[in-house]
Amino acid sequence: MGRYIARRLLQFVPVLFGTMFLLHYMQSLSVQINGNPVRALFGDRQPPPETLAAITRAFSLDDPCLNQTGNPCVGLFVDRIINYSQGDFGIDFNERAITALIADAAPITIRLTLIAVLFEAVVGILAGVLAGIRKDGVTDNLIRITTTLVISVPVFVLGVLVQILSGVYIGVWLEDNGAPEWLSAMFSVSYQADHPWASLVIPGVVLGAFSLGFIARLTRTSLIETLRADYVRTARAKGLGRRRVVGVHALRNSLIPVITYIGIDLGALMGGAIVTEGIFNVPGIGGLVFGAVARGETPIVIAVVTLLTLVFLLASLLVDVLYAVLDPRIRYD
Amino acid sequence: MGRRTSLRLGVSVAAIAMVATACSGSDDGGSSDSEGDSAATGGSFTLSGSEPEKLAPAADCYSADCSQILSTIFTSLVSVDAETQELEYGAAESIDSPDAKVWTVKLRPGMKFHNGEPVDAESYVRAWNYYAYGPNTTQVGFFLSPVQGYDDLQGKQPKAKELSGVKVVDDTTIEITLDEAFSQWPLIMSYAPAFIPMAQECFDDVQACNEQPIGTGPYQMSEPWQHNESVTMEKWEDYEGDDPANADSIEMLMYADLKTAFRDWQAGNLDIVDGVDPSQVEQAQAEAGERWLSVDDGSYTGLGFPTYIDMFDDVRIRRALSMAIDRETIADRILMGQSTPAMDYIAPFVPGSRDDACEYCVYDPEEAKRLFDEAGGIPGNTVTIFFNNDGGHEGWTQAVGEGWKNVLGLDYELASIPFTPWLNTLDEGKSPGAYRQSWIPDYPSPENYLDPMYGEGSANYSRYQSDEFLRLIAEADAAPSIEEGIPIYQEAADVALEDLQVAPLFFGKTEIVYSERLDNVNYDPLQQILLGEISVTG
Repeated sequence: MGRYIARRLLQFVPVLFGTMFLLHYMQSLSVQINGNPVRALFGDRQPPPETLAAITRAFSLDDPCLNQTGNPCVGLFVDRIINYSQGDFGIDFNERAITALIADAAPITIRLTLIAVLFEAVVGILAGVLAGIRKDGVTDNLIRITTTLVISVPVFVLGVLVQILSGVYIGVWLEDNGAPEWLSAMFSVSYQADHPWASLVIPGVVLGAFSLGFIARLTRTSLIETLRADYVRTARAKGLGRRRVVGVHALRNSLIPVITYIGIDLGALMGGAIVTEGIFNVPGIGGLVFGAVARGETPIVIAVVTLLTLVFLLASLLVDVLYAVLDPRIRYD
Repeated sequence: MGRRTSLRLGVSVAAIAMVATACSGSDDGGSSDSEGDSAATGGSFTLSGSEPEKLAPAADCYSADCSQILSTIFTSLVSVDAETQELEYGAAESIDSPDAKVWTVKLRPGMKFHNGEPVDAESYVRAWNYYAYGPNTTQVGFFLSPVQGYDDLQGKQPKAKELSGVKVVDDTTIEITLDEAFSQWPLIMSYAPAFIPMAQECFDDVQACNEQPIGTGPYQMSEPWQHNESVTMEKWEDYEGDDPANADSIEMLMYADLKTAFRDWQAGNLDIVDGVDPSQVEQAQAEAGERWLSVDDGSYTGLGFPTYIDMFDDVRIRRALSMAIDRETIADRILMGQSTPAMDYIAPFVPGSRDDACEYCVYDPEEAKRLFDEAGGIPGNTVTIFFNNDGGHEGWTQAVGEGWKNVLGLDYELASIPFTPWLNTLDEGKSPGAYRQSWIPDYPSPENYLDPMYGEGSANYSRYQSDEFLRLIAEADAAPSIEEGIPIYQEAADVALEDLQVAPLFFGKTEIVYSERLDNVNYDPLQQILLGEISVTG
């Protein structure tokens, strides 16, 4: 196992370098094609050339290679790698350190992701099992219809609907009826710094809703298949109780694809919360990336995406290790 | 879009008056005399904002959000009164000049920074030298460029560290020498971020000051800036100036999307939404009733006809194109009343604005067609409209094109690209056709709406050149006083409107809703919402 993990960690290096180079190349191309992003800070007024030049210099956007379309700017890339390895992720247009921006945003997104994963895993697996053990029953049909609905409604529609319902209507009603503060905070329109967990519950539920539908269906299908397997029939023939057959023998194996999905989803939720964070005004990683993309602040985008790549890699490693725990037939040595 | 602050000449408009006068003229006059109200004091309220870029050095502030905060925690030298359109002195007692070239600023004695340091001449000069010094790369330091010696502070290794044109005469007197006479100089000084002073403590550690600025105003930041979350301003008991401070504390909550702010307002979690999203305006209007402000914000939109495109050479073509645009209908139906038709280059609140200056901005299909045919039409019979595709300009550009199609039988094409390359294309003079010209004023002078866009200024994307126009601008700049400059600026505007290299289209508005807990909510385009005047009643 140890050697396996070491080998996987070594594989991280080329993946990270490759990602960073691609991002760097896209950034260079964007400046080469669109022109200097500093110019847009001044809007309809052209800044005096010396002001523009000074600010451009301050953001290291004055390298001549940024005027040659297609030039990969290897020199700048090497500079970036050296800076990153020293823990210097650069500054944004407001001259704040990007490490500080990430340090501010990451804990919030991690909380949001935890809530979402917890919600989608617990509710999703439960619904999947309920549907799977009584295939084609009333519960099964009900769950299939709801999950289809949840999957097919885009998050920006679902988010706003839930926000208006929970924030404006339920929230106001709760407040009028003297509900405790944490409960009103839970049903608030936007993120509240004073209630760092409660006010993230609804956004977390919205964020996890799509994956919840997916997990429920995955668990259901996988469980139905496993329940037909020979070893499950053997277990039944041995006279084991239904609860033990489903809970220990069948479910444990059915969960392997589900775990894979949740693992990959972890990375997707960290970076893909852009819309949800935007709707609920959560100042997390998604909001950071979204704002940076809109303003053309590529240093932020590159730093955050590099970190997210690392999260993805670690999550998939964790998933592979978990396989061995769930399925004794899988060995890594 | 651009991060430029929306500075607008002050018309503080009472809510009720604004609801009553849906149409707008040059005098959107509501009157609200804060002195007359026996305003309730105490309490606290919240308002929406977006994360400001910087709070120190102040000259890095070029957006409405930081300008809202800075104008609350600082007392600016001078501002412009809404109704009388006269200068109102704040931290200055007077700003005078015998020749519009050498200006003497007398400071009000006895004012202090929040940390106890005196607000003296030295604190201003220290700040201005910092703002103007090239290697400090401030964004609005160039507002000091008319001052003598500014050029010596630019470049990688500047020749000087201090503006030679700025002298400390004594503790409360500063003498400023400009390169050339400029009658509008006191108005430029009303642009707070480029002119507010810096405490020595702030100068020694600008980074710390950015997190928690040291101001001079009736409110202070009692705790550091909570990035992306909030800025809290509390009443400062030792304040010596005249700016009002009714509420005890004001909290600005940062929103990435103002649609969320509006829903927070609906749920009663937020007191003021500054800038209701266009998609929610109708709903806001219905729900807010009288607690609703729709105020002209001074922003300007025009349609430019670049001189480097041959089809626009004939002035008759430019006039025909302008007269074939039904500004009223587009403003009402497409821009949903959030813009008013422009009949001048100069926005309604700026002294010298007129509501009938532009003869060729009146919708007149017959005359347009006649002029167009007389000029022989245009080769290819197609005009391109060039704009940025990330600012919601598709609707009105298409309406303009449809108007041309109906009135002149002309085909049109819409060409749109993202903001940054769009700006760069305009800078390089490569627009493929007529283009969107926009402007947010920096200071409340007609000069600011004219010289940058049609003179030798920084936004003359149509490449308009008129010696007569430049001569008049120079003459107005050299006028002995602000007031005497105005009629000459109007003459200059007439020259440019006659040539119509840019056709005025619309002036923009900002929509504000507030909660029933608040009273006396007013908007001054220079200082944004007048937070100190607001009283909390509920």
